[in-house]
Amino acid sequence: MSDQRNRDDDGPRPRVVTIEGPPVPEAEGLAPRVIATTQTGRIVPAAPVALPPRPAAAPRRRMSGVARLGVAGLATAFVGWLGVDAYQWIASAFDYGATVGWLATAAVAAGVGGAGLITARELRSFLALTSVEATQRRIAAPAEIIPPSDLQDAIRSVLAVLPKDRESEAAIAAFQRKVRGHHSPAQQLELLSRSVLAPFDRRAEAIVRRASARAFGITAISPTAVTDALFFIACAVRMVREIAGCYGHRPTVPVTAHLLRRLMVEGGKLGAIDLAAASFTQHIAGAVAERVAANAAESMYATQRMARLGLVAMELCRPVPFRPDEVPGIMSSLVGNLFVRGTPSNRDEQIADQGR
Amino acid sequence: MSQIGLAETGFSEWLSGMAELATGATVSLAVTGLSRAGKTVFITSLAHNLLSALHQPHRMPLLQVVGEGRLIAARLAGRKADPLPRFPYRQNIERMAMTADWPARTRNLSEIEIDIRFAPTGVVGFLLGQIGSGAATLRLRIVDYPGEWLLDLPLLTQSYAEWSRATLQLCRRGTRAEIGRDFLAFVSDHRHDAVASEEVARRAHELYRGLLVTARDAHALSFLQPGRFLEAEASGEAPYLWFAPLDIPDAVERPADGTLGAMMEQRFEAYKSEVVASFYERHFRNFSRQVVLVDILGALLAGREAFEDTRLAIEAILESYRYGRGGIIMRLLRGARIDKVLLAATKADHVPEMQRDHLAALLRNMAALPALDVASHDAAIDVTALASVVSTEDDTQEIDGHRVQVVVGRPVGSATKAKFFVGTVPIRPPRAEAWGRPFLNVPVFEPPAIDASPIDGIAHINLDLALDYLIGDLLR
Repeated sequence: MSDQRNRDDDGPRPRVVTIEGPPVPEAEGLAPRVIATTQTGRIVPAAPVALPPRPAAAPRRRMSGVARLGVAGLATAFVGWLGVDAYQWIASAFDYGATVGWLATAAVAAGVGGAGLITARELRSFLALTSVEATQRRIAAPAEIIPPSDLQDAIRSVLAVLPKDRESEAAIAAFQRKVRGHHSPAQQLELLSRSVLAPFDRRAEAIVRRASARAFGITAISPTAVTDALFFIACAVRMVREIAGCYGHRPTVPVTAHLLRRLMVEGGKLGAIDLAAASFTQHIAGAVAERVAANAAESMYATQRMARLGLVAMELCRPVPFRPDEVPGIMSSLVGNLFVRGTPSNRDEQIADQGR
Repeated sequence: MSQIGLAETGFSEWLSGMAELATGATVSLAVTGLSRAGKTVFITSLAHNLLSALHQPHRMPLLQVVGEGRLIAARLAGRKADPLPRFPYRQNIERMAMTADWPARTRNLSEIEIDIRFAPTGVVGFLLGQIGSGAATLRLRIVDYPGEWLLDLPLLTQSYAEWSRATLQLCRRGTRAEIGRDFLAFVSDHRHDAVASEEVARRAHELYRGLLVTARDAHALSFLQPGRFLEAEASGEAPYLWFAPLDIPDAVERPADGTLGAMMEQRFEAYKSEVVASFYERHFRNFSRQVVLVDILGALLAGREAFEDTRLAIEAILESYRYGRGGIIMRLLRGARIDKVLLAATKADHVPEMQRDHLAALLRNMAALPALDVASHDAAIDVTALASVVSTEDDTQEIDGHRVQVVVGRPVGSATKAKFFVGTVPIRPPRAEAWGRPFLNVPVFEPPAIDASPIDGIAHINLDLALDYLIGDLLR
């Protein structure tokens, strides 16, 4: 027993070890002071630098007067036709008895109410999307000319629109912990983009990958060019709706239509590249690999085209525009993430450290 | 709030915006700040830069109405029938331009109104374009007054006994206890229930006033009430000013009639009703926006007690205004409501560019509690660092073998320039043991070369950003 106690006594005993902190740089400890100089003359402030103008909102394209009149006429005719028809239907129902008449009235009221609700829902989601686009335009201005209040508004609206789940809420909490009042607008946007939007980007890229794989398979087995096109369009619409949903937009009909319209405009800019790619494909198909290679090459081309559309759709739906070093490439979207998944960038921590 | 409620609010705001635009709206900006925070220079620079914006838009690019090229012109409004004295904008600018000196200290009330003519945007702009000239006018009204008067505002909610107890508690701590030794001894010798005496009251007033003046001039303290005691004429022949705090036990609600305490209380109440309340009722009506200017750098360099004192003063000022619901101002004025507040750390040009954001962060930290109060009343609040006039340039200097960032300027009255090394500006108040010795000799650099005509404006830091936050929404 005493041997045991002796052995315990030999061991390390509880103690407090004082750790010397890192030496404070002497410059931090320098006291304020005024230093006389021999320079004379008044301070002449530098001439103000002309900042790049704030991007004005793109002018809205309006229909011509004749077209507006035409649309208004069509709408009046349609609503009038529905109204008269409903009235006649209710009136004829009353011919069978008051109960039937009131039932018909209730049915029409329910129908009108339901249609109103659906319209309001569609309209709300469409307005939400346009407000996201307005935020995108605000954020796209050079960071040095974004007023802090505008930036705060923009960040709040971005956080409001993103879907809330466990991963995104953790990302938002991490962003709010990291961002500080003295971070510049550019730093705040970079933190937002890297901390909060990165998980959504990964999900969107996965959608693009799936759609591209679908496009590859369908083009390979589709018998005619017409079915090729039909299947491709269906795949593209589905992908756009999924990407919109991924970034928090409700993919209703007007939202999808608006996105597809913008996608066509943006996609049109890629026309020249597509032409070159198509001629390259035909060249391979015709000269080198004959028929077998032709199918494979066209499938590859469809895959690449779908991926590119997906990336454009991501850019349209993402509340914060991609920064130059964040734009996902086609290869990284198709295969890159298979390898880089699980190696998160620590860039946001570096930014947060700069502010400390 | 429901969607319908939001829509209603938006619609009524839009309607009121339309009505204001149609009639020519007026916004009253409360430029709030303690003495020497830079209110007069802020108003002068703001007026000069607005007037110059037509010729030199690059001075105010972050004021959206200027940055977007929608400003038609800004001009000083004409005199009203029953005006306050006019703010001496022209004299101030000429003094800065010609004599390279700052405007004289504000000793009385004055007012300036600037008409800003601009092209509105959106639906309102479209409608105005269709039915009229397409332009709207916003009148910006600003009142200048001595900063000391502001600290009288919290007195309105206090009784004499409450004020006496709080003030003497403060006087018995730190620097005040040292410089107020004579006053405190006098107070201990003269109880509140002693027989009323004109001589004793006047002597107490003089000793208390001496304490306040020394605290301000020698120790840079700022939570000094009543504010008018700091003016030279406060020692004059106005008997209602002859009062001072007395030792009144907690159990005593009101001093008994005929006592020294009762005499002091009577004068305190007269001061509140005749001076403070009438001042705010007459001139602080209809403020809807507020900028609170704080010389946080001066407070930081003056040491822990001065910093703490500034914090107390800011809290007292912000707690005195009520933002959106009843409070002193609301009770007095029935209807005034401030819905946007900007806390601005002034003299940012005395700090090298690298550390300017720290000033704003430090102020945000200092005013965190009253800011919560403001925000909880549905008012928007933000913090920035600004310099109404840039009077320095950035430079470097080797000190004790270290290359450090400094600012260079020419002190007022000096022939040569001087470099000012400010040390490290922390983003939060230093810990108790980290405070250095008070540094009270912050140089007063002369203004830069300025064109007195409203052609080129005045170089500033974030003045346009501040103005855009404060009234930018009314210029859309």
